[in-house]
Amino acid sequence: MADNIRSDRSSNISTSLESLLRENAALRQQNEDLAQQTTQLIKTENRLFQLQENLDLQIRTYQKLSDLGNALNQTFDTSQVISLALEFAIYELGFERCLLFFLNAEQQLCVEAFDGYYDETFTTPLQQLTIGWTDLFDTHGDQTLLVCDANCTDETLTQWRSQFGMDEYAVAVLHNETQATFGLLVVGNTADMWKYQTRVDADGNALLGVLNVSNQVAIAISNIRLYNAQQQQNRELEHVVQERTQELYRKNQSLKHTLKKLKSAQAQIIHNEKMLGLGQFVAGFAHEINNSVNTIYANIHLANSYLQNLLALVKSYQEEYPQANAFIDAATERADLDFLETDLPKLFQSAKDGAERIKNIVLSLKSFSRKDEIAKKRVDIHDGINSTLMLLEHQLSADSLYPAIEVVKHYGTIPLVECYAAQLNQVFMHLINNGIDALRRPSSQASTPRITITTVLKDNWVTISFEDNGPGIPEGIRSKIFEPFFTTKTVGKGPGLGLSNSYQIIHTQHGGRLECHSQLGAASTFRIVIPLLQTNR
Amino acid sequence: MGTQVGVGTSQHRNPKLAGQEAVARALKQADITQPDFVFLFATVGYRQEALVSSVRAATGNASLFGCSAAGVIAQGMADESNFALVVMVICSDELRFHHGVLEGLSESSTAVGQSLGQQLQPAYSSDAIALFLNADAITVNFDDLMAGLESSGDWTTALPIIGGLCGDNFVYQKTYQYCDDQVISDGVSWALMSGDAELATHISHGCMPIGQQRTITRAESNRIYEIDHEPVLDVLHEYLQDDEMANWDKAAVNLGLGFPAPNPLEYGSDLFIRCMISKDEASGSVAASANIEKGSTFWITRRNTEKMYQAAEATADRLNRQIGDRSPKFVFHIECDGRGRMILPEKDKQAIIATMQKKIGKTVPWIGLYSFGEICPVNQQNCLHSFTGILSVVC
Repeated sequence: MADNIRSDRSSNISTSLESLLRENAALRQQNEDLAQQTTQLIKTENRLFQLQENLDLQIRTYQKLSDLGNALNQTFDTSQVISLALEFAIYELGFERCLLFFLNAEQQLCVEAFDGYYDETFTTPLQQLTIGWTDLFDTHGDQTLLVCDANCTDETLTQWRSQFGMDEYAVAVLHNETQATFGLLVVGNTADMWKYQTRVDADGNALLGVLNVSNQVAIAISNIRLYNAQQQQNRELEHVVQERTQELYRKNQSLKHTLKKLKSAQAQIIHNEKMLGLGQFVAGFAHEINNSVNTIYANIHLANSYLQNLLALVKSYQEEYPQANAFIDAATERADLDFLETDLPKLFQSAKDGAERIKNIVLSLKSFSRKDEIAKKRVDIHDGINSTLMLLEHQLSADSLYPAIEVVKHYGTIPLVECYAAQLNQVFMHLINNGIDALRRPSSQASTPRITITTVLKDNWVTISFEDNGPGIPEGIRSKIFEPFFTTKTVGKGPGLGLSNSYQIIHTQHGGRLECHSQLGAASTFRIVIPLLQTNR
Repeated sequence: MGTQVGVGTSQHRNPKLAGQEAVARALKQADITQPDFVFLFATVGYRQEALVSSVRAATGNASLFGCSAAGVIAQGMADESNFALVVMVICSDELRFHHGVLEGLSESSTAVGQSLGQQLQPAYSSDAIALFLNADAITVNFDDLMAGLESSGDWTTALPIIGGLCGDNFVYQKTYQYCDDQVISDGVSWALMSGDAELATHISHGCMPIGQQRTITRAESNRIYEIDHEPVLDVLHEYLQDDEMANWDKAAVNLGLGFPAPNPLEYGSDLFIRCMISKDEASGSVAASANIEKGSTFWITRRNTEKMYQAAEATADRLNRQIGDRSPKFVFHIECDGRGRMILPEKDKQAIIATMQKKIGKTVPWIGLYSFGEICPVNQQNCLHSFTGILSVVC
């Protein structure tokens, strides 16, 4: 019994043990299967990670290249393009050193810029490094990329290792828009540092980056050169336009000046002819008047004498024949002989005064015109002023519309002044006439119209001022007042030559100044400043 | 005065300008013109002598300690390119630094360790805080180096060692150690920090085991020949693609060896990770970053991004608890290059580091490097780690 029970138990245990062992073996198998799957998963995960890393790296590189392209497009500064390119080659493409060559006029490739050469002893020979085009490209035709990697044995390439300071390098050719070569971009590494850099490998992706950068740089520099050439053309065009504009301006100014001179000359001619005619007329007129007046004056004297004789005769008859006949008495009464006796002397005196006044006016006319004094002569300018005033006396006098104009003279002690007297008198005439016109204007508020004439001698210069207390001259008019043909008078009242001629006479003929000062609403002063002697000019 | 610290970086390709730029930024942050002591970590694309010379000149020849790295770290920056550097300048009346450099690891790491002990002993005092140590990753045998150092006395085991193995960005040819004007290879550079400050350190990794537990069936020193009685290269080929087998740097950062951790709580994981730093086709072996005993059980491990995020947050939280209300003077950060660009997308790499910086403080001076092996004490024993991130906060 007991043996049977032990046997059953043993059998059950054995069965359970076998079952457990089977389960254990199955679990082990499952575990091994899982471990196998895990190793496969690990491999897959690693591969995915590497692919992702490579993808991320490519995306970063493309992003950086895109950023570089944007940066290059935003600048028109070649040095900045170069700086960006070198920085990109070193910091983003990961090469140790970078060199940029530009082709010069002698077809020599000269170092334009470099980076990554931190040993300063290397930089001086590098700055002087040049490459003849055929030195590097003789056997390499139209290649756009030359690669001298660590295993390169091509002597054309390996000979440049020491001069570039690179034990492996790649050269990208820079082409312009017409595919003409204008430079080289060289990137590379030294042997002792290349393990920490992007290697130069003909089969590697890194050189695609070099080509990409070199293309972008070439385009950017070509664009800048085109832009600069365009700018230069624009500048040259602008310069030409500017020069022509200036030339036109100069011609315009010259024409203006000529026109001004012509106007002035025309004015002078007109004035001269007018004055010549007027002078001749005045002189002739004065001569004729003077002759006639002299005759009248002399005849008045004779007539008076004759008349006195006649009256004395009549008196004698009355005394000798107190009883005349009725006919004589009637005739005597009709003649009002007593009145004749008292009035005739007055009449003759009046006629004599009138004749004398005509004589004086004629004298003034002669003095004013000074026909006989064409050359410079020393004259008393006060005489000239006074003669002018005499001629203008009727304008200065009161009439039904205007009160009389008071003339105040402040004459200094002035010696004889060397001048063209007739011309100077013309100036006085114009200036006093202007003063009279100003004082006769409706805008003039002067209750006592006045012209003050002042003469001063200082340092051998004579100043003659004509000041009126009229309405003044606005600035806009004052600036043009001496221009020929400028006038504020109505048509027919004057051609606008008076002041311009006066200006010419004082400036050109006498080497002096004619100035106009005016205070609007108060006064105007014309001031003549001339040398006492023309040798003082 | 206290302690004024500033950190500056540069990615300029010209070593002279890069050194000047980084120092200028560091001095500006520290608000000083002349530092007492300088940390410098740089990647290997620079001509190292020119770089160190530039930093020395820019810092008024202040004492300098540092090494080449697989990458550099600062606030808001983790750069594993060949051209990056980070400089930390310190001016302090609370902290003292003694520093030096030793060559000859390839000849005898033990001897270098012994010499290190002899150099350290006169400088060691009761207020010693930590030994910052950088060693050539290519030639060092860390166990031998520690053995040599510890032969100088028990005081060496009580001294926390923080550092990393110098890298050369997976070229595996030459790394550099800096001490003042000296730039050496095949050596160690060290700086003993003493004074009135405390050190809070935490280490973490983000690896997870894959497959079954395995056993080392043939090993010699740090070299593994067989796993589960199969050639080690055949076993690893199961996990690796052909190109990863051919380019070992990819393999080394993708797979680790996870051994049972001596102190899981302190370590933050129940697995202690070893890296397979190289392989030898001729002998059919791989070299681990420390000696491996025959019969050891382990798991093949692999980084896990989610775990790395979690570990970063946990590390920062734990350090913040240790720091309490004290103000951090600076952070020294060592990241395994196996936690960088080789295995993580850039955004994850940056985000993991940013997580820690945000929690500890965005304005705290922060200097770090990517290393080929990380050094910090676990369970009060200075160890070399792989696939880890170490944060040391000096406060």
